[in-house]
Amino acid sequence: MLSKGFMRIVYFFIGLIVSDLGFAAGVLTPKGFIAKQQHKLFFDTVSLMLIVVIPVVVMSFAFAFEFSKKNRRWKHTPEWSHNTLLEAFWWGIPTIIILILSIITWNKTHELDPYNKIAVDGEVEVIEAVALRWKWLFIYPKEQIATINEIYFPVGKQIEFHITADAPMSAFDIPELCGQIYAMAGMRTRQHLIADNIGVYEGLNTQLNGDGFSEMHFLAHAVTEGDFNTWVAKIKSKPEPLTLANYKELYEPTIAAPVSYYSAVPEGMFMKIMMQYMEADSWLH
Amino acid sequence: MIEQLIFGKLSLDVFPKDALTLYLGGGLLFSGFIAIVGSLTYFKKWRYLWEEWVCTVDHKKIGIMYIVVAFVMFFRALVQAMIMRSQQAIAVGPGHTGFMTPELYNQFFSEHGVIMIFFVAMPLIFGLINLVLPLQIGARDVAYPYLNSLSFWLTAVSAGLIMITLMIGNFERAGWLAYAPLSGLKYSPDVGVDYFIWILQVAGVGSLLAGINFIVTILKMRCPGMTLMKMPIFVWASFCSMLLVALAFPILTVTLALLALDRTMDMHFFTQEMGGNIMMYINLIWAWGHPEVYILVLPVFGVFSEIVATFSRKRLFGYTTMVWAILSIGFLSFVVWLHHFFTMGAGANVNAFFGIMTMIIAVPTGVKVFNWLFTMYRGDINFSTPMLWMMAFFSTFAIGGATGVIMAVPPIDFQTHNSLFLVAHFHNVIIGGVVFGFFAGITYWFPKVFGFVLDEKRGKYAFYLWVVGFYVAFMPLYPLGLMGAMRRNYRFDNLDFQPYLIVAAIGALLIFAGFLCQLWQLFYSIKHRDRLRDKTGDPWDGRTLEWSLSSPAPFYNFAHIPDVSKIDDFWYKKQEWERAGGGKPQNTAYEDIHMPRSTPYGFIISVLAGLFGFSMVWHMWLPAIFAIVSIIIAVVVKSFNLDTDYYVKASEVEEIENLHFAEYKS
Repeated sequence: MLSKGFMRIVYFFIGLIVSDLGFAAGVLTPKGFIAKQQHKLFFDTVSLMLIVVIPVVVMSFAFAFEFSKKNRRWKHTPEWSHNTLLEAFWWGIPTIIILILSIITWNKTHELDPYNKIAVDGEVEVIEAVALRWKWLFIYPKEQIATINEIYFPVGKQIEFHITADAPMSAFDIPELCGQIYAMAGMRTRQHLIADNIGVYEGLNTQLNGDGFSEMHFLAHAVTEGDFNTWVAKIKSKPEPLTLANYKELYEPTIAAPVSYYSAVPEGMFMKIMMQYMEADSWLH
Repeated sequence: MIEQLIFGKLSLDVFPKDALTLYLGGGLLFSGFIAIVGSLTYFKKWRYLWEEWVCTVDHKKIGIMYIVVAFVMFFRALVQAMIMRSQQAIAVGPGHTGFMTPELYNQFFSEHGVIMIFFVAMPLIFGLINLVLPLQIGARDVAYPYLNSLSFWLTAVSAGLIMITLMIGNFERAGWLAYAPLSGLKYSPDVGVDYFIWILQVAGVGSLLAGINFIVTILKMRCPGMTLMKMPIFVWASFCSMLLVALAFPILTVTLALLALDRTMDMHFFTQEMGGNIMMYINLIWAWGHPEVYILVLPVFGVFSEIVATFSRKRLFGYTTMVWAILSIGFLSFVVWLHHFFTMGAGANVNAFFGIMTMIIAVPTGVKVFNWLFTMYRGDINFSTPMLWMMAFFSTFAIGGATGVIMAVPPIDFQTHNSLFLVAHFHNVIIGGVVFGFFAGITYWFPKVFGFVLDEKRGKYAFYLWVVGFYVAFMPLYPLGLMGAMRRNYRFDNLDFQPYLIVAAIGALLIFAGFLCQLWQLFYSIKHRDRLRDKTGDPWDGRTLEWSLSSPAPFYNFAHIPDVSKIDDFWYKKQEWERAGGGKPQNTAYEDIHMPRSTPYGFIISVLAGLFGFSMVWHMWLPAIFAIVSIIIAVVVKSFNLDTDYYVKASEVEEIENLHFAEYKS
């Protein structure tokens, strides 16, 4: 029915979208345990929704065509306005779909709760993340090192993030590995993830927190255990440690801060940053 | 000292410094102002404006003014949207910053959101309800006509306040809900957030009063025989929406008052330190904010219910189910607010509960869609523009509703929250639902207010541009969001985003072209109003009482208060008349009609409220005290004015009605 030329244009655009644009990032190309399940859950939910959406769209056009004033095929029934069976049917079908989705939601929300440890064997590496204006401070409590806007961690190992802010509310997100969670001053939120593939993943703040918001990115490198240790050793050899004095400088707002490293961190630094907002006279800045 | 008390923080430094706002915004604002003042003076219309419009308590005129305000603000926010879309389309890739600074961009999206919700969608609702609702329930005015005028002018004055933020000082940069602590004094020391607070306080009081007014109107002013279950669905939907207004807006007022205390009195409700709780702000603002979404969409459900029945020439399918669906949506809207921040770290039980409650709303909403579809079934559908908007709505709303349910699953929301997926979703339901619904409603009821129908051809151009523009502008945002593009970024590093952003910008242009087409449609229709004249008062073969009147409806609405016995009473009366072999009969036993008198107090109090808001923003304490004392005096003086009503003579009514019937019979 449609002319060949028109279809050629359509094919061209579909080809363009598939080949050139590519769904190149985010949860569409999940690389971690959590993101993969979120990816699957997303498409499962989309299919469930299509059970309702497709009939509605098809019916709206079909009815429009069939019962248009110009089409005289059907008898006009101006008074027909109630049918218990039909109405029970469309209270019932959405209810059943929502019931199924509710069960999935309840289970998956518990299973993928970012606070929960992922049920796998092995050690857990803790990384503490502090949202500052407008950069991320990462502290490795076990290794006693800190970085700005860069993290390395071993692939396949469970990572537990402890997250707070010394800034307006922000949010921690590595779309290809896990979802986002808010970073709030005086509070600690958590996020667990496991990277399945070696790679460099984009991390970012997703919550508007001021003028430098758009530039608040970091890179998350999932590497082998060996490479991770080399990286830690490299930072340990850096000249500058993080101290309470240079934290004061760090606190000052900067836009697009470069990656930098601190060879040592004061004991309980993360807690100190968090407790500023909870205890009297504990300001670091 | 005294200077400080009068001028507060105002000084000559408050004018904008960046060229874009100064020339484009200021130029538009200034030339618009000059054009209005100039033409009023030239045509000597000042007195007419004051007597017929500013002081009016006629619900139809107030409705028109609401809609005019909405479209002026719509134009502004639409222009801002296009500027933002161009900025994002250009500023992609390392080092590309486009033509906007983040300071300006953040103001733009904050303002775009505030204007679209408070000064476009809300005035459209109140405008449409004002125009139609009293006519549909067979009333001569609303319950409190003076309050109605006050509500409108409070909205209009606060719309004026948001207009001047462009030129005097600046608007806030913390998003349309101004989340604390970013909106606190520590991180936003300038006047932007104060503008936000006081603009919304003034507008919020206006909305609350209007809500109460319509609740009472519906409960007390229905004509004899119209029991609750015989009301048109638009009345039911408006009733439920106004109940939500009355229950939700006090939350907004209190929340903003607390934020104002934080900012002006150095208190600590929503600060991070000193025991303040930022999560409380976010909870409270959404405890208002989520019902607000349903305040907007419920009347639109009513509009579509009227339209689908009229244009299918068929009774609305499942009236009782519709009423219960509306009521359950209204109730559920209060128990889902937490889905706006699943990512705050509440436990899985809390998140799952609110996720499931959110999904449950999809059931009554789905039921409504099926009822509309089956109203069309075996109908006799006439595809005039209102019905076309409805057709577009089916698909857009189905998609928008589905993406809403998808995001209601907390683990998915962890990925899509704050992303362009979310932006696509809420534009999908607000444009594809609310805005399309209002366009349909305005086209549908236009003849009842102005006496002529809108031109169909230009209306269809506008329709196609809007619908195509909508899909082109917002569908690319879904994949973008999933690819990790977040909202409120003034630029992106990832070059993969650019093609999508360019397409979205083209979509915004198409939408703007659609908007211009609507203006063209309006001017074209005014020019050809004689040809488009609606002589019968019932151009669409309507079903509800407003179509029993002449077009435009006389200022007293009903010469005789109707007496109804069933749903769509007018439709069945028409059939009786047809069987009797005649048209609408004229009852010539006219009586004097009791009507409310015009009053300038609504306008005066609102202007003082505007002055109060402005003074609070700039810490101008003396003018603030002056304004608040004057408001109290004005209210007291007004309450001593007992000359608030008058009688329209039966002879005058007869004259007006005879004119209509003469035209009707021709």
